[in-house]
Amino acid sequence: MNDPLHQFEIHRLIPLHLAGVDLSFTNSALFMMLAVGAASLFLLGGVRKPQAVPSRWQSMVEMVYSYIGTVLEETTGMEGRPYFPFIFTLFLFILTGNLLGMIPYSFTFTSQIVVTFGLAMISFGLCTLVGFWRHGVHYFSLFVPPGAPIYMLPLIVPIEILSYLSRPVSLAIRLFANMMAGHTMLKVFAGFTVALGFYGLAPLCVNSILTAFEVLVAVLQAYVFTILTCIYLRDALYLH
Amino acid sequence: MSQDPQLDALKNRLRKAEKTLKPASPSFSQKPAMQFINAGVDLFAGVLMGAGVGLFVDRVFTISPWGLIVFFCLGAVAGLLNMCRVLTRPPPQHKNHSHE
Repeated sequence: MNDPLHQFEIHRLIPLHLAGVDLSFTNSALFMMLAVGAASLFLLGGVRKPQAVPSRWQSMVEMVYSYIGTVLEETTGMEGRPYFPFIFTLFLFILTGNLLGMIPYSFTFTSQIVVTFGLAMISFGLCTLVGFWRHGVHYFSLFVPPGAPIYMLPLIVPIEILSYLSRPVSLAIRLFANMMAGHTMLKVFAGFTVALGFYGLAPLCVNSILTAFEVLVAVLQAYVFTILTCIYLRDALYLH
Repeated sequence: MSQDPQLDALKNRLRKAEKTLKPASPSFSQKPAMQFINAGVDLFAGVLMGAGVGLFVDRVFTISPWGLIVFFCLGAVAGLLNMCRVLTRPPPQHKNHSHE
């Protein structure tokens, strides 16, 4: 039976070492570029010949665009509008990455915690920067919940700071764990199918259901990552 | 139970129909499921972050193991807090947010 974790191995496609730093072009990097390419193709192809009555493709692009716009506006209000390009890019990148990973023999870069943690740190860093840019030192009042009694503050403030710092960790682990667990499970059931011969029909049925479920998870997790970024952005914009 | 046999028969038929309908109309709505996926991860992340900060404090101030003990507990509380926030967060509504 094949190793179910084999699919997460990173291979160097073009080895490259610069000043002691491993900058090799890996299969992970390849699939990230493919994701960017696929997302760009999807968007540019959709608006290539814009019509008042949109074609199916253009309609799909418009739906994704306006959906993310609605989510952002519902969470952050009009103040969040300037950050739409970032949120939209983040959503499309994760979504295409997750969906590309559903193609057999492809590589899921969102199942690598370093990738998801990098993405989480980007959105966490942006939210923190926006908060400090808009509120200055006053942004620290985020750590003091309104209405908290003064004598509780020595306990509450460290907890609030820890809860703030654990945001990127939970963002990263959520996406990574979902993708990794799902793909491992698919592989395990595929292994059962091969090992059981004729009776492998049962795990095969399970696997086909799981595949559909994994597509749901892929879309849902991209959405969850996006909406949580929106919620953190809202905290940075309005404080509480 | 009512005395009317016709009503009883109707009730039985209704129960049977409901049973066959159940899988087709699951009470699984997307929003709560999504929140439950989030909840556990938030707790875990809080504990992990607390342990990380605790180990860091231990190393910097050489007060092992007190930093780890204190921050592990604080991290667990922070994780619980995050979890509760996710679970009790009101769904986004159409409204204009005002500046504080």
